[in-house]
Amino acid sequence: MAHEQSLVFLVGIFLMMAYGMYKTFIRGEIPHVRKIAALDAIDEGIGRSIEMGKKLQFVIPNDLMGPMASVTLISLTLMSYVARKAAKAGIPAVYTCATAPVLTVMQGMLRDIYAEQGKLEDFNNPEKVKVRMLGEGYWRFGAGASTALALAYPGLLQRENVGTTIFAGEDGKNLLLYGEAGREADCFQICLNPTSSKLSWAIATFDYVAMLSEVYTAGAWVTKRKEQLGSVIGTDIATWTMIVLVIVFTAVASILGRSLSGILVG
Amino acid sequence: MAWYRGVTPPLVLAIIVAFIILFSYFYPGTFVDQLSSTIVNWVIIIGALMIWTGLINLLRFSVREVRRKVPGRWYLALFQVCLIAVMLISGFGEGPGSTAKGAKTVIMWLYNNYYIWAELALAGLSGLWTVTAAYRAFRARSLEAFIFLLGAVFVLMRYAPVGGAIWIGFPIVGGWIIYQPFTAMLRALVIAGGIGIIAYAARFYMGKERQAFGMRG
Repeated sequence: MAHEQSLVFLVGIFLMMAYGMYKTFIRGEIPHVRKIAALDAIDEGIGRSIEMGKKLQFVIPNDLMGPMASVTLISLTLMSYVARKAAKAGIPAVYTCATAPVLTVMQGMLRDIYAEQGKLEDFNNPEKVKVRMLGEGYWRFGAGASTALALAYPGLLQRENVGTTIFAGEDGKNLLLYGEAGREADCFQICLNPTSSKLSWAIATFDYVAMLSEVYTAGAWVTKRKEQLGSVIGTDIATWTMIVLVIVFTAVASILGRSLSGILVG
Repeated sequence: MAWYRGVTPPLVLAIIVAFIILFSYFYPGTFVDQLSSTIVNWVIIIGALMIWTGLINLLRFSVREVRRKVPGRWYLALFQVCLIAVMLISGFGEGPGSTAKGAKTVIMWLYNNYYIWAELALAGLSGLWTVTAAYRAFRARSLEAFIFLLGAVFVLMRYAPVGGAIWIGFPIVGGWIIYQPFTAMLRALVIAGGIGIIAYAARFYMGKERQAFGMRG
């Protein structure tokens, strides 16, 4: 029975997304997306790096396989946004990941982005663009957090003279290490964390943090395409529906002493 | 502009597979479930191939850095190539079971005597930086920071044995903070995050999320 209930919820939320996309794509209504401070800070970070003559760094600590795949995919989407801006501004950049498959995808994406911006020579110049893998893989040794990346990170920031670092993803207990290492290197730090893991550490150590659905919304916002922005309308409807349901379920459980789902199922 | 613009065959295949995996959760024991299990098994095989693609790319990348003698990088790239070679030779040379617990093999010796100690060093760094981060986070520079600090003091005192000895209210208030507002907030965040993931999935299923596949928009 629990599965059927989940299916109803899932279909319901999908329908809300479809309605949002219909509103934007067919009817041309562009939703208002409130300012996400961490996204606005990307421009600030690029400007800061240019002024200080330092580099921009984008880090993806997760892998393309396993439970963190969606996190990696959204991180790659955001990386393409940052890379376009970096290529346009001609700022030296370091793109770092933790696994070999992500490195391969990153290289291909960055080559295309720099070529599209007419900056292919920058991509081929190691002084301008560096694509790095600092990780131990993921079969036996890489269970969990990216130890090698976390260990190498403080040295990397100092060696590469990084001015702004954007951390996209989740790395459990190591998040504090990234944040504090960046603080010691006097970096402007932005964390784009789509999970609820170690959020308090991110808030305590990074300058700007985008969290959970903000990051997924950012993924739609950066494309500036109306059909993608439609999912933001769907997200809003789904969120308000959940708020109403939580209030109704809580009220019914408090008044009747039984959960509403229990009453409905009988 | 047609809605199907940019929906390429690989993307269609990915969408079909994603739907099969999704529906297998809701219909266990059916044909869809069996198909999903087969696909998941194939993921392991494709994953193994993906590692080789990544490894060859990494080797090519590192060898190029060594050949070009990239300043400050070439010796690290050389070290990386050597480590990959050692791991491959020891792993393949010692055959299946070489990474089993307690196996007396080169690869396990490296794991026990190099990797574990590196992880412990990281744990030591984490401990040090927890203190510096806590110091900065607990400075009451605004009302929000003051509320954060107040909550942290109660939770800290709940877990510190001395907290209950100072004032009996510390464990009670600390416990209330953890089990009531903190749990409620965390659940709200998780639900919001879940909706965000579904929104991302919806964009993907409709063929609109293409940037992560290297396609524009």
